Amino acid sequence: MPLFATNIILQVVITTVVFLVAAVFLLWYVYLYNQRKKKHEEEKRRMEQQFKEVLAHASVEVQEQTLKTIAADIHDNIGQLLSLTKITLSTVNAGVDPEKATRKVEDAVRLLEQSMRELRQLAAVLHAENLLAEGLPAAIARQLERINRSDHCTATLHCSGEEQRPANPQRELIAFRIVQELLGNSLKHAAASAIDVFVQYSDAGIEITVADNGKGFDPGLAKQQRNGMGLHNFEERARVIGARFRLSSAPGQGTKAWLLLPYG
Amino acid sequence: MAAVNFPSSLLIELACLVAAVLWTGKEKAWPWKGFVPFMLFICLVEGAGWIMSVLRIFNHWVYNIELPVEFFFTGAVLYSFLSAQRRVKGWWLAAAALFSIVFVAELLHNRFVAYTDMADELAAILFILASGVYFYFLLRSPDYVDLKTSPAFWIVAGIFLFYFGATAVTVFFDQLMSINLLQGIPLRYLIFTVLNAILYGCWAYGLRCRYLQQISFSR
Repeated sequence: MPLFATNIILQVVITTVVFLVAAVFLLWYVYLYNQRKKKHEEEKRRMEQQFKEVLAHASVEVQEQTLKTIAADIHDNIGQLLSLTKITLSTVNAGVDPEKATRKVEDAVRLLEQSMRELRQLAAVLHAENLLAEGLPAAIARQLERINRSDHCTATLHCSGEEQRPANPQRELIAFRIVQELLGNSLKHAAASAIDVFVQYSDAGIEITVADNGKGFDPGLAKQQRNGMGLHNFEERARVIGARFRLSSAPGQGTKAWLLLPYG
Repeated sequence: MAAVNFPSSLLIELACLVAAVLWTGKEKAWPWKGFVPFMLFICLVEGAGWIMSVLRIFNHWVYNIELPVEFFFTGAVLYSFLSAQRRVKGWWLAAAALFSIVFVAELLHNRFVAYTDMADELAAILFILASGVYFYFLLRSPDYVDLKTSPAFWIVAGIFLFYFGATAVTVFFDQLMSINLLQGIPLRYLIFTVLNAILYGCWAYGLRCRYLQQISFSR
């Protein structure tokens, strides 16, 4: 066979094999890339599922908190006021001292007016089932209002920037639940006498800072202990809503928690 | 188009025709309903080409009839898959016009006595490009497609492997024909047998995927 023919045959065979291998590699790449897309889709679905679970959990917790607030209000305020009204009215004896009786009735009316005010506030708390309809600052303001009524603690809300809602408003509910828990921790565990909540609407998103002057704690140590679960919860919830969460605290120096919830 | 004694390519094509009848024989939708007539045509051409080569009759004209049918069917199949993702009608019409011009010009230039290998090369380049575009669309698409069971993917993969793998054979067409005539080495035929096996293997599998898809839809 002439050398020319051998060369051509070799060239054709080698080129064909190389081209076929290259084509198979390309198809393999398309396949692998497609598989990656599948994994990404599964991960997205898993995240959505997790988001739904966290959202459902947060909704239930917000409802529980609301019910606790109502129960405490009825027992501590409205119940007491009505008892006092009943006692006042039961001691009215118009036949003996009409002037004193008039005063007592007036007192009873004042107590009833106070009860009605309490009831209206309670109705506002109940309405807070839909609390985020008025926006996150309004919902936080209601929480702080209740804290301020206790006389044990002064809570102040500092709001700045133009209010904006995230693309998925349900994420706000989870953010609100985080704030609610932080406030609960400041009152229950830190025994804080002053709490400052900063809500700032910036280009990066909604920045929420909760700072108290309570006992403080060692976050590193807390994470290792059983009660560190609370901190993990904050981080987990923040992760699910695509927010960033930071907490700084030291024994005797209060606690400062920071949450950044992007709009998108 | 000389052929060796045993028409293995014809057997492969017949097997694909059987697969097409079996799995897309009752198809109503384009391009699936086109596979049975197309494969029947290919088998007839291959059979005629083989008989003519056995009888030592020049069979170029048979393959010159086959080429435009092959181009327009394969092109229409690729067009239907591509147009499902983007508007490519203009590109398809331009490609069809370009091929038609080159094919007719080459036929006239050869005075109908030689195979239109330039038009064949052009068709191969256009099919490789169209297949590449299909894979590109597939990569760009945000949706996941189960490629193992995607009929369109396997049809396009077969086309891509066949024409891409045939590049060297197409480029050295004249030399391989001379080698076959002078040395009796049917390398072109042998490579095309392998490529046909790949092409029609992919197509048969793709048609089966289509059949299974239709069954699962109708359940």
